[in-house]
Amino acid sequence: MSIWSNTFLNKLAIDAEQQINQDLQAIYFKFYLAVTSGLMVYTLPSYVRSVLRVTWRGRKLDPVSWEEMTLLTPATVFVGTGNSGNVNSVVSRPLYYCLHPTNPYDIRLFPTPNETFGVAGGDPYGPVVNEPFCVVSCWRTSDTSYVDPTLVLPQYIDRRTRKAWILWKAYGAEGKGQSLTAAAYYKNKYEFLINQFRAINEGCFVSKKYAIDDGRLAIDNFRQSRPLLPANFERVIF
Amino acid sequence: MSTRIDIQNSIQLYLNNPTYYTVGDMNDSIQDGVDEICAFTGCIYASATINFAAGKSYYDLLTLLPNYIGVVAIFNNNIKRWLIPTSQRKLDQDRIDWETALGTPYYFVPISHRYVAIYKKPGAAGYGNMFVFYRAAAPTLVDATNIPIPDDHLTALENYCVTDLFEQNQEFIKARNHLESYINDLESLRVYMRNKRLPDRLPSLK
Repeated sequence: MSIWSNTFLNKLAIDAEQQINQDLQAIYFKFYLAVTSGLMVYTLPSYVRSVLRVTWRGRKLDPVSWEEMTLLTPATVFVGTGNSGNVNSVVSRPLYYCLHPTNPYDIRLFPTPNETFGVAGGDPYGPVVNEPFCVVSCWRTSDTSYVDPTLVLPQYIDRRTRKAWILWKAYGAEGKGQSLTAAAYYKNKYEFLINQFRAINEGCFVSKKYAIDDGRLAIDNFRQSRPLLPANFERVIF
Repeated sequence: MSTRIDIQNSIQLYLNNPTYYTVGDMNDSIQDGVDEICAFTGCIYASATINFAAGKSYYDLLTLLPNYIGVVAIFNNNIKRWLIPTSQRKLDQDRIDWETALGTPYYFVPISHRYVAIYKKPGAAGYGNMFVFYRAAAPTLVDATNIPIPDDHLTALENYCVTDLFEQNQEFIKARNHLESYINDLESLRVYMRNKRLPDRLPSLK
């Protein structure tokens, strides 16, 4: 006779996947955002965790904060879809984007798009010059239906990490089978495993070691880092 | 090198009971242990030939190479040059539409545990291929398979298996002791693989 029901374990399995995504964003995803001419704010799918890059016709848009956006365009406002109070005075090819301060999935493009783009017919991983798409690159949540193998953690880490998290929570739950010793054991194990995967995922950014140069692409464009004195160094303020 | 059956015998000897754990239990633990140790320490390297695809900026290497863990280097076999590792931020500084730029691939950017981007990208099919050198996941083991871990670090695997078997029997105090040993052994192997294989080389910043 089993200690825990399948329903309970299945729920924990989904929670585990989501917890792993909170602890470590690892699933890179690119998708087309459907864009309508004259509409400045769009709601991203709820699987988006962090926006990494947005391109319009293949060109990167500059990310700005909400406050910077209000300074960039002090005379425009978005109240709500179809709201008569919306002010769209600058309509052109978008150059900037920002995320809404209170609606976590809303993204605003500025200038307001002057074209309508769909989502079908291209490959966001192989964009072509001047293609009529708005592409969003992001870290996303995993696919808890497990249909698409590219949208879950890799096999070499997934099963054991999820197992540790599930057992941590299952042993810690009230009712039969509760064992706080076991829960503590699996908690430690989960933390160990997630840290190991974090090392793998962060370790793949091998170009980090060149980050102390000025960022240009030349191979010999490299200098030793040195301390910079603050702007007010030796300045006496009376 | 030790084989899976050697590890199995060694664990049975340690547990002092050849029948309590089934062979299936032990083999599952050994496979899990080898998978985990190889992933975390990068002790297996592999290479593969991949064709450049026309217009493709991002390569899903985990799909193309099912045992892929992380990229080490890429060689453009068409121009006989190594691609230079860089970052998306630098490519953005070079040109804001780098993803669409057609030309000779000279740079690559690891994006995640799955994707690697190249810059520039060939615009037509039949451009040629690249050699990808990467850290690889462990193979599926059978009794006679040589364990792809250096012999002097096999204690990491044995400790993993004993931990796993104790866990299954809810012997958490014993399991915790072995887990600590396993973590220490794993770190030793990782340091060995990354830093100690060539102590003759002097690390320098150019």
